[in-house]
Amino acid sequence: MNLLQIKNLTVEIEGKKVLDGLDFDIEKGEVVALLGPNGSGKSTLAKIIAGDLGYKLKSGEIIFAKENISKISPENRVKKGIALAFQNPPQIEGLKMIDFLKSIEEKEDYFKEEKLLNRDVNKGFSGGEKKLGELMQLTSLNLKLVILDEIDSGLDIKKIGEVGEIIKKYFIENGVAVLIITHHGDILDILKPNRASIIIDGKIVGRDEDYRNVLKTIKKYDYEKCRKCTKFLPGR
Amino acid sequence: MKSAENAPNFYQVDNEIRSIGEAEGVILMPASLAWKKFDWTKDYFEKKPSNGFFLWIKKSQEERLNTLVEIASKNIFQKMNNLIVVEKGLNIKLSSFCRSIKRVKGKHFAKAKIVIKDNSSLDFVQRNAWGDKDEFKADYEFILDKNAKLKTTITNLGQGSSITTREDVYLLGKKSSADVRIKMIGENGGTFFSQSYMHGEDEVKGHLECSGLIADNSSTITSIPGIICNSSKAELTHEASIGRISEEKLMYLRMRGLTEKKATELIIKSFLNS
Repeated sequence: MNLLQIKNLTVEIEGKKVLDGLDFDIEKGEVVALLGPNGSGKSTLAKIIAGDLGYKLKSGEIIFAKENISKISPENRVKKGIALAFQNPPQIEGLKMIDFLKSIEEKEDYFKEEKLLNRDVNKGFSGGEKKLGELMQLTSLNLKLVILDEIDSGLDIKKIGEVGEIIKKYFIENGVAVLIITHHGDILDILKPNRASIIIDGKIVGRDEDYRNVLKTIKKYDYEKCRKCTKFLPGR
Repeated sequence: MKSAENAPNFYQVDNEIRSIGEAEGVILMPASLAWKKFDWTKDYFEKKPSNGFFLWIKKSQEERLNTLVEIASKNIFQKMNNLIVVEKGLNIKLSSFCRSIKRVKGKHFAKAKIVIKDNSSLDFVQRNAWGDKDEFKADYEFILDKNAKLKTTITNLGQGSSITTREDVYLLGKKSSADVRIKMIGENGGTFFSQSYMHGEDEVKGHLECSGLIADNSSTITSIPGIICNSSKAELTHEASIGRISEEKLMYLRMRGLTEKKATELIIKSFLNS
């Protein structure tokens, strides 16, 4: 059963279509990788699902747990169980991570990186620390769908392993659906998604039940090949 | 540490002094009484004060001293004239809090002189929180003698209030130093006009930072920082910034489940703590 269903979604920024009649869905507890070149609309899609009010829908709708959430505020989407880990979260000087977590947490047992708790949110964080900070926040919430925007970017193999294990333990093993937006295959080898979808020019152009096929094709022929690749299932 | 809200050494509501606490090595009394009792205070008070307090600290204190002045009734006009003197060789922490506690359309005009004598250091936190239609005017003078040190953060929160402030920090003594931070938060149509100056003489060091946060479209902040330097050996710096609440930060917090109101409050709180 679909947990998330996106129908005919079009988003324009300054007159340019960033998402162009996009259809996409995720089932309950499903782990889905979304791959695409720079500027293909991956991060826009992530923010639109999470309710970023900086983006306006030109057409289409977002159905989550059978409810149209297209016009629901970001905070209420969190209450319904959707949250996004930012690729580049803003730093908030003067707000300790521990105090921030206390103000948002919905449960007691969640991932905590002790050395970050008494630092200001994202201030002076390394790439890896930013990712761990995002995961602390998201694991403190009661979620049904987490969207991880480039959670593996800028991390070495060891750190990718660490981040991957946190995602497995707190989300995948608890039946939380995960949408992983990534350029790389390393984290996919740990998370083993149920499928991979490819986005180009604001449209889902194909999907494959085996993410390794997608990675192989991209590595060999680049993304443009995926558009015409007959072995991928069309759409979604 | 005691906060200004639970155990003030000096506590005034409207124009009535409610309590004056005792501490060893501290003389605290109404400014009008000090004018009569200590002739030398006339060098600092421009004229006989009718309201305000005199705080004379002669011994280092383990705990932070604090004062609290509130307006609780409608149309009250508080005209404070305060004098704070830190004697030689002391380490002192002092917090001062002035506010209106409901919608009162109050006026609070404050004139304060803070004297830090040779080899003393003062950590001074001044918080002012005013509400809709309140009018707040303040004129603070800090006078630092030889090797005196001042670290101060002055925060003015104006929720629909009219706020006019001026701070002058006089680094008069050789090797005196000051780190001065002025923070302003304008909400609900609050207006600020703030001037802050640091005056440096021989071999002194000082930094002045003025920052403003505008929480809505109807508030305005004017901030004028200045450094006045009379010596090539003085090292004075200043910086100023005024900004609106960042949409990016607001959205980030809302995407963690906080309402717009709670997210705004958290951003304001973080601004005050930064």
